[in-house]
Amino acid sequence: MSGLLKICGGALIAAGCAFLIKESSKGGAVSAAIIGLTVIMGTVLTGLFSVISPLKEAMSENGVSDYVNVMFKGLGIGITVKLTSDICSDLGESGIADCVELAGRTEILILCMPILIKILNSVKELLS
Amino acid sequence: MRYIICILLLLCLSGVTVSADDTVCDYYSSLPSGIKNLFPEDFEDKLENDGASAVAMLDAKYILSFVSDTIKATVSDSVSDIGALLCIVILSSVMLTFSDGITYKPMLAVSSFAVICCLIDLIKPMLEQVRNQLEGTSDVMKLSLPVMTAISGASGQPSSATVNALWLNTALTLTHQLTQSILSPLISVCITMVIAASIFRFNGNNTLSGTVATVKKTFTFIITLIAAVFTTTMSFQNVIAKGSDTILLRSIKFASGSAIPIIGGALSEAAGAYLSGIALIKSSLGTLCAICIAVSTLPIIIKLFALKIALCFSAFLCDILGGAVGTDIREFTSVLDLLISISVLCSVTFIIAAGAFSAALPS
Repeated sequence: MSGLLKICGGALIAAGCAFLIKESSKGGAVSAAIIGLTVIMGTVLTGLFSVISPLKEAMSENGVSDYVNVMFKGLGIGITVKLTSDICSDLGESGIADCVELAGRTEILILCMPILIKILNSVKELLS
Repeated sequence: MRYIICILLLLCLSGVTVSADDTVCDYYSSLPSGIKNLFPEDFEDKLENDGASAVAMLDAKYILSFVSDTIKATVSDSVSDIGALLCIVILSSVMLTFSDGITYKPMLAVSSFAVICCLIDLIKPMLEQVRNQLEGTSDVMKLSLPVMTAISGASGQPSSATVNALWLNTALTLTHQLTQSILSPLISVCITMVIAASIFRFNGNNTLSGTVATVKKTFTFIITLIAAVFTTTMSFQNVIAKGSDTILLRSIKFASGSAIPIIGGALSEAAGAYLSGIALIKSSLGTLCAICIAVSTLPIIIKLFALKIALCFSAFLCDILGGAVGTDIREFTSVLDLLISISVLCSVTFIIAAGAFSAALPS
């Protein structure tokens, strides 16, 4: 709860700063927003990692750590791409935002490949 | 669950536990060591000393304790695998809940593939175990049939022995060949189709579901046909063979009783006593054979049921958490149903076959 309050407080301060700077310097406002966003996401991800690590350890005992790793990597890619794409869109660079989304999708496709190959091998074994 | 109850009832019905030591001993010694290990530790020693009391050990109490031990072992073995599946399902559902817009589709792909892979890891060993069980059960019957035929022939029922052996051998060979050559590959095809349909489904394409349903219907049709043919064959042959033997036995008794004065009646009684003795041996052998089939079959059926319950629970959990793989898990559960049905069909037909030999004796 205290962590959430810190995040909300930081978000409000970043938004207030951006609003105040916006009148004098538009670039400065965007920079303030990005800095605030980075700090907030950093705090969130730190908290997330502290939860993910024990979960991954627990899963590795069950022999499904590969799948869990892929799923967490996918989640990470999804969050990063969404964040970057939103920032790019806010800056008016929709082309770059689309490009980032495409890169994210491709990255997830590459990430899925080992699992997909494993499925195909299983199918091959079943039909042989 | 009704399949397990059905097998247990069949075992209880065939539970005549009087034996002739040598025949049962010979039969027991010819069994594969994998099946011998499933019997009580002191069973072999008792069998050598007193066959009747040894076979009497294999009563309902033994069967229930065997089932109980198997359930315990299955649960302890499956906990980690099923726990892993549940964790993956929960994780995928939670991750999809937090995904929206551009991240939803890729996340759906990742989580679907992970769940499908986990399900394949669970079902593939089961398929292998069912195949091995079918082979094992068939081997037990191949061992039992000649021994029982020989005893049946020696008991003065040549027509019954010949007809039963011929038809049962044909029916069992047919059942074995159909399960190995058609049903087993059909299950593999079905699993493959379910996997393909699951991969298609995450993209919103549901066209393969119809094909999966067709494969399942074909499987159900074949398995129903096998069961119907086997049951009909058993019914006809049992009635015809038993009828012809009764007439033959009555003719022999009448001939010996009327043609040979004084000792003719005694001879007739002796023949009856000899025949009933053989009948008891055969009943005992039938019981042992049925128990062999049951103890080699029940573990895999219980495992399949445990996995089915786990998959149903996972699908339910997935629906509650708003996951997208509930349908895929249900499709895999239906594959387990096919595995259960093929396993139960073979064990029940083989137990009935063993019981039919025991039953086709003069009273």
